[in-house]
Amino acid sequence: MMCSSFRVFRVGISFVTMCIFYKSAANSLPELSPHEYFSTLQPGKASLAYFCQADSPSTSVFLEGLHEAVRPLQDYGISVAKVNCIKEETSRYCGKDKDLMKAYLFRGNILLREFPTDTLFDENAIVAHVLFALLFNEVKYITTPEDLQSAENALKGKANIVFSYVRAIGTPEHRAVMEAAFVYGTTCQFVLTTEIALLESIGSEEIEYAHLYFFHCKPVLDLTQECRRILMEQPLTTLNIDLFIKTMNAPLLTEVAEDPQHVSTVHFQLGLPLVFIVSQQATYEADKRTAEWVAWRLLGKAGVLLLLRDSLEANIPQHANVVFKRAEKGVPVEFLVLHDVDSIISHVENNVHIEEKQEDGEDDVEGPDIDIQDDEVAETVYRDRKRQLPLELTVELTEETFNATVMASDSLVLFYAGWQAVSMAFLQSYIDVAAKLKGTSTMLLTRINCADWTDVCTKQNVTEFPVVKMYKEGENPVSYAGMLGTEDLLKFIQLNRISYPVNITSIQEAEQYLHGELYKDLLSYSSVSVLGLFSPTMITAKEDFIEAGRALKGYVITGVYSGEDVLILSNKYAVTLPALLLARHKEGRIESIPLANTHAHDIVQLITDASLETFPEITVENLPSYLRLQKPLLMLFSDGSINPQHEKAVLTMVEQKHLDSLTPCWLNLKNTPVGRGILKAYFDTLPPLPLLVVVNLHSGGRVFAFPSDQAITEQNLLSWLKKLEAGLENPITVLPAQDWKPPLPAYDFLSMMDAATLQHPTRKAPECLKDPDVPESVKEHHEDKSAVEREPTETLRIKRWNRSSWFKYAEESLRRDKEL
Amino acid sequence: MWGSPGLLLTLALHPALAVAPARDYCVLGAGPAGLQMAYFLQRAGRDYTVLERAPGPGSFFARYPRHRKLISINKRYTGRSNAEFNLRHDWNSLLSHDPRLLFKHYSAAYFPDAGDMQRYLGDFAGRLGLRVQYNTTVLHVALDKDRRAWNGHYFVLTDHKGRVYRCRVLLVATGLSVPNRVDFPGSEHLEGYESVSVDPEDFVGQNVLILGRGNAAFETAENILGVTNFIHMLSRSRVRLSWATHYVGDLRAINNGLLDTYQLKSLDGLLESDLTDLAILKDREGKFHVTLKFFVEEAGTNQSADAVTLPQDDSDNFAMRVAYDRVIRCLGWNFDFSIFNESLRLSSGSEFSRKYPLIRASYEAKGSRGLFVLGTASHSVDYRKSAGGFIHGFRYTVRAVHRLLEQRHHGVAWPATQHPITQLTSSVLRRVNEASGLYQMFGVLADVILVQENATAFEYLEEFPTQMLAQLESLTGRRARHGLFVVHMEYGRNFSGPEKDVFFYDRSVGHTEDAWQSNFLHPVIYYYRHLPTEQEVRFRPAQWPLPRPTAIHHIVEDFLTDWTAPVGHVLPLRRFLENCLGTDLRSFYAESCFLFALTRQKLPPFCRQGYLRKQGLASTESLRRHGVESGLMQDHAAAGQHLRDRGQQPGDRRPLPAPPTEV
Repeated sequence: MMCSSFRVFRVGISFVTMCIFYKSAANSLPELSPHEYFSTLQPGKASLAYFCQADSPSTSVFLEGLHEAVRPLQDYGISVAKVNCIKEETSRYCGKDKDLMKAYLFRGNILLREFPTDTLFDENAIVAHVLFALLFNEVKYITTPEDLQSAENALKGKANIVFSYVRAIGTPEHRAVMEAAFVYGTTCQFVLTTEIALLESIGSEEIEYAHLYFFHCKPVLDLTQECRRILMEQPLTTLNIDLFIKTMNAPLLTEVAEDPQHVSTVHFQLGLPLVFIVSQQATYEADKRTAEWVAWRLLGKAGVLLLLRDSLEANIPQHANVVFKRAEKGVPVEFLVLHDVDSIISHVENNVHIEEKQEDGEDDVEGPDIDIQDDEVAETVYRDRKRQLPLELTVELTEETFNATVMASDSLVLFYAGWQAVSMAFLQSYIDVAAKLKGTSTMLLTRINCADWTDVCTKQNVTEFPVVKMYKEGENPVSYAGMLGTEDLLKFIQLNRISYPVNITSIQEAEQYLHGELYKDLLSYSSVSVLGLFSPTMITAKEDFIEAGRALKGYVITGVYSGEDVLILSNKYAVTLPALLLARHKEGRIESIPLANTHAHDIVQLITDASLETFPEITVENLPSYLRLQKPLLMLFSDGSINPQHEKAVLTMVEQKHLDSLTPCWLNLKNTPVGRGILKAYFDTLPPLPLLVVVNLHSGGRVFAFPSDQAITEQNLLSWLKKLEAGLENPITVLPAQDWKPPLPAYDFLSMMDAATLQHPTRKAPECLKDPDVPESVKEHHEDKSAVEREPTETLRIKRWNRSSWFKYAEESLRRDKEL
Repeated sequence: MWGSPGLLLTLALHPALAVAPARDYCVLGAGPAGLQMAYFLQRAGRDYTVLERAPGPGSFFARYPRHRKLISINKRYTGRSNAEFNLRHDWNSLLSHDPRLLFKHYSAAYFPDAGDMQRYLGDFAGRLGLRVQYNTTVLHVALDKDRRAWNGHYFVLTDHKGRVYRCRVLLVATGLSVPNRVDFPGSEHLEGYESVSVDPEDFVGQNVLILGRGNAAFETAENILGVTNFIHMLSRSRVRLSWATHYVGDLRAINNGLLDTYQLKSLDGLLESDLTDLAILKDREGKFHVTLKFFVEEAGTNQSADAVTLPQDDSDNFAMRVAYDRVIRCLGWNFDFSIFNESLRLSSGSEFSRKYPLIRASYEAKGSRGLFVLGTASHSVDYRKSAGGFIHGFRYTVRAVHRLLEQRHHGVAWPATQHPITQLTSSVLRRVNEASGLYQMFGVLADVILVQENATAFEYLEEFPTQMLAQLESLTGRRARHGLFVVHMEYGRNFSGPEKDVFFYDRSVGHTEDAWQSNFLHPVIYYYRHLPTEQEVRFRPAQWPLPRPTAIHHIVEDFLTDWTAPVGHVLPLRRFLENCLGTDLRSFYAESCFLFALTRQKLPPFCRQGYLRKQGLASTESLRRHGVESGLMQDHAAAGQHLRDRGQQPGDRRPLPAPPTEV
């Protein structure tokens, strides 16, 4: 409060001053009899009276509010009174029932409006309602976009519009708008709505808050043209609205020819920065156009002035083309060299932004510090730097040992950089793998720090980190392309114990292979085993398959059979050759897929897709595989294992092809605790688990929740999905679609350098002249000076050149704007 | 001098020209630069030949420096095994793939002997099998216009035996071979650095005047300091100390013993005067007197030496009033322009770089296309700024020239690596921490990062000549349509220079927000939304090595030149890159990506390029714990307890870390 009253004092707006100071002043609510009250009424003056029974309690919530409202209403010339309905003087305004007491608004002695006391729930509501009633003509209440359009059309060329949306009548925002209307109602048309749809229709986002727009309709002469709409970005308070409207009404561009340090306009008085576009006679017309364009874009954010250099005595650096005067008093003006309109705009916005942040800092938590680490990987690795890892479990390679080691045995090499956080985070998992494999694997786990052995890494074609490569005798090195974690890497190493694809030599072997008897110990690493079946003549098809098998090496077990008796298998599994047999060991099923002219790349895709499950448990590791399908997820959240009935319901629906447009899956919060974070994002209040949602990640990000009071059965689910499809369900939330922008700003060294060259040419440098006795140095110093004097001519050329391009740019944008 | 006979020669030989087969590349001179270029041409499998006057490579080092001590440091130990980093402190090796061809294997001396350099160059040429034709003195170079030739003409070289070589590209690496002479009355009495005795015995008890103030002059003085009566040194400009100017061509501390004795008033001394105003008179005893040209001219030509006015006649405390026994000229070297026909339009630079041929920042002669100047002779590009006149500098500029040639004549684009945007911070860090070309050729060569569309990937180009930035697309064959970063290294703007006190208190900067005021060599990254134009490069602000960028970042100077501190170096760099590209370059564990994938419509690049491609980064128990402690990660397991206990979780629903909300 103190803070804002200070600001008000500075700005000097009397009506606000009064409404801010009322708290400290004594509130006197006159208590009158009806007779007394009606005798005080003056023609044309408004007054609010609360009629109550004499024996009613002297305090109530309403009365407290009324007390508070006395001063502010008086400031608008509205008197307030409490009228005690004593038995002797009955008035028709004195209700019969104690509970039905009302407040009445009169102008003179004409009744304007009666208010049930519950609508006047607090001071804000009282002031808002009273002003709303009094300003009936000044503030138009509308409910549809058409109303707004017609209001806009009616006022084009005549008056500007202040359009506001408030969540409800009687809110503090509503009061703020009404108070502004009291002051500006005669110069602008106020339009008010409480309809979200209306706000949506003019393209606002984030409709949780109140909005206020200024429509520049007065300058619009062509009825087909839209009024320029400027959104007020600050919260709706009386003061902010007043500032905003004042700046909107201020002239777009002012020309000045005095020292920027001493210039002050309404913007500046209202706490906005000033932007001076430096102009000279020769380029005046073009500069003016640019300045107008800048002013138009900075409406409500800064004042824009055209500074005429030629008629100016003050010293402006030769190459500066923009002068920026901060809103804070006493801060020296900044001379800038900005090459286009956008950089002026962004300069202003960035600086205003900082200012806001500082204000926040005073009364709230401090803004985030750009020197504080916000990268979780970098921070965790840094915090963990002192922990000793059992690095000895892996062999450290050097330039000398690299070739000999990878040639001598099958080796896995981790290429990392000691200074890179991601590398070092992964090194931990890598060491874990080494610990798990200790003494059991023939694969040698090695690592090389590319910060030390950069040439070795470059020779191995490694220029980014981390990279894992597998070196096997007689084979080209293979880069590991799986997740950078213990489990997946372990799986990769285990599956690489066999060669790919496995060459199956007999029908018996093939059956063993398909039934998981051949590589029993590897089955837990590969969800499926794939067998390619080819007749001996299908050479190309087989080659394609072999290539695909190699590509899947380390991820899926593949085998190939092309014996003369292959028809036995193709008959048994009812498939024409060439074909794939896909053994799902967990489910004990063998599927067959015909292959016809399928290229290696497509076979890889085919196998990858086929190895997906129909109703998988989603984990951190496997989600990306299912997201690839680009379908909405039908996701069941379960705290622990899934209820078999639920599982059955979903699987039945899958079989009946009801879920083809969705990816059904479930999430076990015990295995994947981060699922709780997801639920928190979806639900305000978490209903009991299990929970079923549809997440539409790829189109619109809408999340729908299956009603928690319904049992998860086939029928219920089916009818819910139908409703969903028909658009009859409302999303419980819409996932934010924000882009990932820089989390925090960077140091603006360019501005710091500019500021330094303009103020102190050699701030951090040693002084040039050390020994005045040396005559030579005097001479040299002169040379230095002349070098400094030469400088401007050079920079001047740059400036002129940039200037022209800048104008070209500005003109282009103007043109584009017109086209739009 | 060669103008007219050259013309005659060309005419006379013209019939022979037609038959002489043309070579793609001719390299003149088998010194360090010529051999370096030969190496790159050989590796690329190009048709080339090196023509060398002497019977072996590096003949300059057979005689020079006269006192045999090279002042290029041979730092054999750095405590680091990174070969690229070690080249930052190896001033003598040429670039090759063979680690045996490092100079440290040729000498143990920190300031090695010139003979070792010659031996090294011999091995370099021999081991790598470079094609050098020795004992071939090219006497004359002319142009033969031919529209079909790569550059519209052939270079026609004629050697001392009248053999003719036709070359499509001519690479001149002849160094500076002509001693610089100043003409004034009495200059015939001077002895030159190239021929003066190096035996101190010859100077015993003598008064010596040395003209010049470069390393040769001081090296000469150093050699005889102990036996002379005194040494006076005279030159036009004041002494420039390399530790003050950060220019290795200025006076090196190893040679500056005379400064010490001068300042301690031990009879030796330094004087400044314009040499062209001087005159040297020889008296009857054979001693030399310094006077002014003006007095000599006044006295007339026929007067005997003793009759000429001496300065001390007017001003009896004139500094050089003593008589000298010897006057030695150590005034440096000039490029030998004499063999080049006028049609090549190979002219000398102006003012500061008169001794060098005039070339562009691409090392191509301004006068004729296809003629490149390499090595010491190419130093006009960065004279008194960087190391381009010395082995440890020009080995990189030669490589740059070779890359330009590969693109121009063979369609091989400038080598570049492609990376996803998530590797951007790492790529910059890797280079600023190890790249030797950026470090040695600071301000001249820079890495260029070409951002690809939508800022999802980038191309990384190493060691491109910064002054050619505007022509980057045509010179490299790469596209720069979506913005670019230029990474190079700089000293502080006002830090280095003659008569600057480089030891002043508070000379180094430690805070990241003051990084732009760093004085010592530190990485600077420029961001341009559009490739600068030629005009922007040419008319850039004074003192700026590059045109004004859209944004600039200085990585704060580091005492250890190790720019890997997570918060001091990496974090501000990342913020800069993020803000230039308008994206979030943080890295995230798979678990965070998983959360984002299900609670947001868009993912940060790290999750998009890693996690979504099934290459997420798993965390470990220990890292997760730190993450929770730091507040950057949430403990969902613990939060689960809450959920169950209270049924709902009030307040913070926002998963951390979150992207900033837009205004």
